[in-house]
Amino acid sequence: MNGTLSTQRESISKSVSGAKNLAISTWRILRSSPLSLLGFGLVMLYVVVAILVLVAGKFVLPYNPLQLNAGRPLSPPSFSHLFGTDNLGRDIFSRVLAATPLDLGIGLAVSTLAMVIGGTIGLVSGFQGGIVDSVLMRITDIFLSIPSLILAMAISVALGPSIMHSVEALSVVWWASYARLARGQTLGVKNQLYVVAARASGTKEHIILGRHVLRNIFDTLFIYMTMDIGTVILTFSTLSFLGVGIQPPTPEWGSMVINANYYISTQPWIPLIPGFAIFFSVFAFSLIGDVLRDILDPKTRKSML
Amino acid sequence: MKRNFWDLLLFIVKRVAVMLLLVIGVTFITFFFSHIMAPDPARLWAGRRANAARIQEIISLYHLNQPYYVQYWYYLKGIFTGNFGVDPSTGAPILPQILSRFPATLELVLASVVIMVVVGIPLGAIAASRNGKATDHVIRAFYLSGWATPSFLGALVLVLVFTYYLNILPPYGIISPFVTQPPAITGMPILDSLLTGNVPAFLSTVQHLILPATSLAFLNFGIATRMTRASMLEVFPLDYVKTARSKGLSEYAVVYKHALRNALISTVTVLALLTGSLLSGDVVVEEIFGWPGIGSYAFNAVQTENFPEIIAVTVVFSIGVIIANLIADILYAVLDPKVEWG
Repeated sequence: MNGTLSTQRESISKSVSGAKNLAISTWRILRSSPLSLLGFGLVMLYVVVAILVLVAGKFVLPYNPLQLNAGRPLSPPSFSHLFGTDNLGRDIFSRVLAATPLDLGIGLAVSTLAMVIGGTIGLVSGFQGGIVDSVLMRITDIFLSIPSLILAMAISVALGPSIMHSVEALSVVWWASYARLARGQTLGVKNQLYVVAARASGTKEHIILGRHVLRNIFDTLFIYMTMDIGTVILTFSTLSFLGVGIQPPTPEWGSMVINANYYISTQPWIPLIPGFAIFFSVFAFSLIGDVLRDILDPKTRKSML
Repeated sequence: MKRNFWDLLLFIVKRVAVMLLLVIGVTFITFFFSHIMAPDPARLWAGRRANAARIQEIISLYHLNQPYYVQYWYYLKGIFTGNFGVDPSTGAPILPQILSRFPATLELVLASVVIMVVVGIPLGAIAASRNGKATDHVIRAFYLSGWATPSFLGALVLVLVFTYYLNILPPYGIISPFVTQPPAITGMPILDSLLTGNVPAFLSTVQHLILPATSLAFLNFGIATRMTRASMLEVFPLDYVKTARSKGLSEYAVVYKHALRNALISTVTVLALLTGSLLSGDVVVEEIFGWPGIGSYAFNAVQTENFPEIIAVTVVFSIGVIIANLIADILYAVLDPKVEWG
């Protein structure tokens, strides 16, 4: 019985393509934890909504998100206004949906920029060692000791409020933790036997750096970046709370909460619904990071199968 | 193994030297963004409503027409002599205002650290001992919720529930204006009322402290939980834990006496790393709860585009983070017998 099972499994793994194999292992990992499944579903939902709004906004959104008096102001959730309306009579459902591409986009842009900048600095620092390493890591330490929100706030005020400036300000404070992470990972990889063997066989240093070191640390950086998208959205919305992020009337989750916080006791859905949009995005991206780790790390994948 | 008193002293001196370098680095970064990157530094430092004459005054006050290295020298000298510039709207020096608000912020941050330790670490230990079981998943969902909650949303929900629905906790301020105010001894009302034996004032400060401290802790305790869980899972397979188990010790003794004690060493370091995130959250929480500390001061500074105040808060908070890390480094070296001094 056991023997037939294992031969069956072998023949299955031989016959199905690599992509299908990945899909199967992904499904097994998702099935093993209800939280991971929830995270995966939520991220898919956010991404699909963002793409739909971006591509076919007019057809997806029931109302124009900027239109005043789309319904009676401050009306509670109903069939015509799923999430109710705000104090200016704008449809909250349309506004929450319309904000998705912006918030997700900023999360993605800042964490990608931070990964590229910080990853490069950490990679060079760990690979070179010596004085280069010391200098780069002391600079990283300095950035890590400034509270990120406070520095982003100061930079946003200095540059003036705009979406691009918020992205710049957040990227400036965000790269340092990636540099730390990439350096640690590089140090772990650079003395592995396969690197030593590549060097002994005459491979050039920049090829070792790219082909052997970068490729091995990339997964870790990528997982960290995925988990980070939510954190960026969180900080960005806090910048809006402070009044240095997005300017009204552009719909953005954070500023929708702030502009409505007077209604928390009387019409709580107005600040709470966009607040939960932020909450679930951060929650989902943290969970999906764990899923990705299980999928990308061959060690855990083997034990799952 | 180098672990005598003089080695420890040398270790501390080295760390303090590194700390000073970090502070200088922080001043350089804030200088870079406020003087070099900023499109119009003079207007930034003079305030939005300044007229041409005032801007000229500000330019000579901060030496903004000199080369950058001269500007930086005056800027650095100002910070190290406690001169953070003047408030553009009133012309008052900034540092005394920050210092007078410092105890309130310290009270709030320390209270939330206490909540984080009391709630976060035991939760992490429980999650580790129930690794992979339902309890573990529930605790993970709970701390991820805290992590994922925007600070302003968490505070608003707490106010909604405890003030508007249950009406048991005050939503605003640090102490009720209707009790005898304690004299400012430490500047922290909760300690001052305790020291003077003023019971009504003490109860009032505790009531006022609960909501803000809980919101601030709720956002960050997840990291303490996650760290405790991870480091306990690391020590579980080690020989000394196995020995404890095979001696027939109860599961409680194995988990909480043997494994947790070792896991705590790395949690101490992580708590220090959280200082930055706590201080970031502090700005939002203080504003929502009308807490008279540095955070609400920073919030007002941003609203009025009061740039010298923003920069001053940035530098002061960064110094706070650096000092917290220094303390954690020293504690770690003392607690962990494997760390060599010197």
